[in-house]
Amino acid sequence: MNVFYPNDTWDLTVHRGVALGFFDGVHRGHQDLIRTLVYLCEQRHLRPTVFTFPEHPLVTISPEGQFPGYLSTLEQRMQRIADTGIQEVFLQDFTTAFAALPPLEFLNSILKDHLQARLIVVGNDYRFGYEGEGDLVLLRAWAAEHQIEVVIVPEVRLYGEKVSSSRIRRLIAAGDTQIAASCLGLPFQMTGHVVEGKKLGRKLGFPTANMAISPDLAVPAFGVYVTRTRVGNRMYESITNIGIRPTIQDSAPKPNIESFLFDADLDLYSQEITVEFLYRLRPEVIFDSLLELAEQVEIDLLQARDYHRTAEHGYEITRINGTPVRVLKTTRFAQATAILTFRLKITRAEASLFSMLSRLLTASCQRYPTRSSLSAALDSLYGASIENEVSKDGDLLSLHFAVNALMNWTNQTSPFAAALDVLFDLLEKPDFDQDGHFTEAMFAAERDGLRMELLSRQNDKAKFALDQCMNRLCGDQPAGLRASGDLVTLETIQREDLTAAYRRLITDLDFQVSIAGNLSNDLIEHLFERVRQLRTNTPVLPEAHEAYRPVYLLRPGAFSAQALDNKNLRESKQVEQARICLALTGLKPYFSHQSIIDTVMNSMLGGDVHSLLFDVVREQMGLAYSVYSVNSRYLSTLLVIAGVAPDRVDEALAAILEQVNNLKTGTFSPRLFERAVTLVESTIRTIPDDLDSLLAHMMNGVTLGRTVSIHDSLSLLESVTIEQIIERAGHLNVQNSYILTAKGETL
Amino acid sequence: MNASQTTHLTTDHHAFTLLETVDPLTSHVMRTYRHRSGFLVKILPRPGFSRRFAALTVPYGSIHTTFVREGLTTTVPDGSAHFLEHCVFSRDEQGGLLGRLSALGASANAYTSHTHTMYYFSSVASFSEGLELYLDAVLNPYLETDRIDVERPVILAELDQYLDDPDTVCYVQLLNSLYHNHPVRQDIGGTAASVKQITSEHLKSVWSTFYQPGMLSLTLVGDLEEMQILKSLGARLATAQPVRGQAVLDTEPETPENQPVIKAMDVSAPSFLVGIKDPTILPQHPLEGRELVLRQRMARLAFDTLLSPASALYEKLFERGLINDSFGYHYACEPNFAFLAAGGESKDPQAAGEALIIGLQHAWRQGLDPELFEIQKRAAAGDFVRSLDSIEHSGLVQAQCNQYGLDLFDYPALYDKMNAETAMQQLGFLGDPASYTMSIITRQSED
Repeated sequence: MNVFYPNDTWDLTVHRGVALGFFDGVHRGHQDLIRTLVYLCEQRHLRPTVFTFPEHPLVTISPEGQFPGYLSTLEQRMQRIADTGIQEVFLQDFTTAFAALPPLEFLNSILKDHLQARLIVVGNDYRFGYEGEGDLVLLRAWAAEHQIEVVIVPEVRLYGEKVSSSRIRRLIAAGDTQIAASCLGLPFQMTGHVVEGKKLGRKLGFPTANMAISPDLAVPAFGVYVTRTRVGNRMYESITNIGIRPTIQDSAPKPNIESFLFDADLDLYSQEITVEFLYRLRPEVIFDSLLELAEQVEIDLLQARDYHRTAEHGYEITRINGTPVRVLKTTRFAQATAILTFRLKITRAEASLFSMLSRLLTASCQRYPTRSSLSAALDSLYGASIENEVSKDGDLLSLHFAVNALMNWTNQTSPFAAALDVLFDLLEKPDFDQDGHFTEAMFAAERDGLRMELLSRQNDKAKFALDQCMNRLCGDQPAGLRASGDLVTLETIQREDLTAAYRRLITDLDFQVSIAGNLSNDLIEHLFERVRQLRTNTPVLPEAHEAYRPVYLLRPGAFSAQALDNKNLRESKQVEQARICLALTGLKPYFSHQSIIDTVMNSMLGGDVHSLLFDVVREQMGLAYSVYSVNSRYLSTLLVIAGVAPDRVDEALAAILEQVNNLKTGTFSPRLFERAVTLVESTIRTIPDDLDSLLAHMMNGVTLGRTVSIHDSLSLLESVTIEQIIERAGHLNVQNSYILTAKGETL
Repeated sequence: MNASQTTHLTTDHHAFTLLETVDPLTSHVMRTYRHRSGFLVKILPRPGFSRRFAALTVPYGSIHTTFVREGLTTTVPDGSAHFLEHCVFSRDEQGGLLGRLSALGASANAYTSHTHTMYYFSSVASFSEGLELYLDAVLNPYLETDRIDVERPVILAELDQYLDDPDTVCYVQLLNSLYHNHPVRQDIGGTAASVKQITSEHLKSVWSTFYQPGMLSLTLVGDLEEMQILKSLGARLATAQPVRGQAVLDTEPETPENQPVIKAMDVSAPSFLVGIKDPTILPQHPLEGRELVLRQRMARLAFDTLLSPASALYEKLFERGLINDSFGYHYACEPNFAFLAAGGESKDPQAAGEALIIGLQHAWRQGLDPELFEIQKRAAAGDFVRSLDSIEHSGLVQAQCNQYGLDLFDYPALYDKMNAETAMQQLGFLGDPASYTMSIITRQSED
């Protein structure tokens, strides 16, 4: 992402989509707004651009000292904007001259002439021009006149209030860093250099790092916080005191931020560190003596350690040669799981190739040259498992290698630690033949295996109908390709292709590591070492020519459904039961916080057993045994699938469409809505009951580009209304249908 | 591994007697409450988890089509157990059991097997309320003709769906070939013809014999208010009387039809299943309780040794391209039937089946690899500990154990008694070619 100032050379030939706002903290509301712009720009082939200011307008137009402090430094703000996929930021100084611009002049001279805007994305409270005289009515009228598209992105509401920068500043000032983190989408951070302190902590046995604070930043309420502290690439669990240290301060009080890092013995003096505020343990207190202070500090340390051990918050603990490693600590499960994920943009040729490669890599290695020796090794680790899976999120292909085992056994061994080593051995040291390629026998066996897997999908007539419907929805777009590949490409793969693919996998592909369980520090360090070994040959990314590079380079792309002349297709086969598959487009983009509305709507239509489709089409009308809908999140599409008697296809189709229409017109009982909300709530609440769900929740957050805790999800759900459901259902559009009937039935 | 520690407590908890066991491997606790009517409650407390789970096990499955109660013999059409399960769940003016439970945020399900019917649900909130609804639905279902008429087309659609599923067709075909008279040879859902014959009287007769408190067991897992649940159960069961229904089965030949059964379907991937009939367990010489479970577990370990990906036979068949990742096997072992089904998709199902049969007979002559058998014991012990991490999984396993009068915690100790030699002695039928049969699904030629 490049940053431009008014006097910089600027390409006036490019058409842009522009997001407008200050975006302090780049909180959840900002993220929805900016990512909507990026998504729409991808669909419309525009360059996504943010127009903003280096300093907050209030600093210019309010008396000195009125602005309560930034949630992010300019550097952090630019980085977070870059993370959304924005390509350009135009930084306009908010001078008195700029502040005096009449609204229409701002629109004409800056947005139309200078930025070449063809799309403008703003929040629903956006105002512009002199004294904020310009509003959305003016913007819309002007845009219509100039054939410029305007999109208003709804606000995000959490815990009963709109998410806004000013609310987050208030929360931080009150010490409520938990809700502040919920609104921001990540913990509030303060970055600074470690300075010389009084070394009192060292004398008490816990050396602390004192951080110099920027005077412009918002400061949390004084007190003791559970925190994490990043030093370089590495994140440490920590505890932080903010305040004037009333018990020991002997001179004029000046706020001080000092952190103690658990399980770290580092000389941090003069290093830059970033402290993330998770939870406030207690306010600042004056103690009568240093002894009392020391006793309280012991209690604080215990509580902070306990919080880190049991909070079950996943986070990125480090990056090794560019590979993020995420940990999720929990003490409730006997087993542990680690997932190594490699990702790339899917293409037809590479789907089959990497699908076959993932099979080969989990079949054998130098240490275990046969399937049976590998399986026996895992079985002897008390039934440890290593599994490969290829999956697709929109146009992203993911190769997952997962290891699961018991963390400890009664003989003081760790089956998980041993199984983790087996997984890295598989990836690091494949069993190549003397010619440097996978052996002929392995190659042939795995090609047979994948061929059968691809063929067997066609055995399932519901999946067959779904695939046909998806093919028609996606056309040739990458999002329509199947993760495991296709039969035609599979037959063209040579052993050499797999060797080359393997080299790419371990050196070039986007790689992420996630681990969950009752993790010891030794195990985590050992994991780092294995990741380092695996990625030894990964080239360092070349210096970016842009000023900022997104932290995650790969995100699922925007999707547009294919326009079809013949929307409805019927085919016949030798089947006992007909299958109907409908694609209903019109859902929100996958990253939107509003997508919770789509989740509830899907539950009401056909996602659960109380749904309209289940209750009316199956239970009341007896037209189908199996009828349901699924939310294809990355395609913004609901898919309805039904198995019906061949002679009742039209009746069933009409009944399904009638239920869709009932949603659009609000012709349903409020009880249906309440049940859907209750069921979605129950699904969210039970995520922590399963280690794999917990881990998947963390990993999905990364793919979606937003992490939402269980509590935040419940709060988002709480804000969903019947009116929103009806409004969203109004956007549902039958994009296409595929019907598989029995041979002999009238087409 | 040590046996679980058992404490007998004599206190009367709302007409229940309590037995508490502690698993020595994990220190998890299991409480068993038995009501004087015979109603059994198993509780696996799991503090710190949100979800709470309940399963009601009814010892009535698809094979129990003929049964005796108080000297009176009744025969019902095939598929009656499955039909009754549908009726317990099906809709009524308030949405049926499923609807009422989903209104509470509970996720409910049920299945019918050859030997039992299982009703289960889990929820985060309103668990006790859900449990009450659940027990009401199972203990007082509405089984009149109007409900049966509404449910019948849904069941017929379900059966149609299975007819398109090559895996189900292959499996039912195999059972048909394995058994001559035993009702296990019929599909659990019955046939379209048998389902059309089922009446309200049939279902009421099944319900009044097998769906009585004294026949049922309830498994509960999670962070529960035990005493409140027991109090409510105690009130509900105050007038319950022991009832005993006994299924009646004809004698069954010891060997199957041993010609391969082949069916052509509209499939892209052909498939096969090899079936081996275990003549040790048949209606004329059934096996029950701990003895049955010991045999079941020991044979499963033996088949893990012979057929899992860690085995030489699997490796050989895989290398020859005859099997792939879809290959699987299951040793069914119930009080009056036992068989192994093994197979999957294959480019040459006939050759794959034949190679598997030859391979198994050869492996039987060679004997079990004692080292690999011990490894499989370890894997099974690990599976047991891992299963306790899941509320739902541990609940379902315990609910299935209830049929055999066993605790989940008994398994590790059972493994202590097993070794490769005794396991192999039990599998003598593997050496008899007459025990084998095969079911194959081939590609239909395009017309």
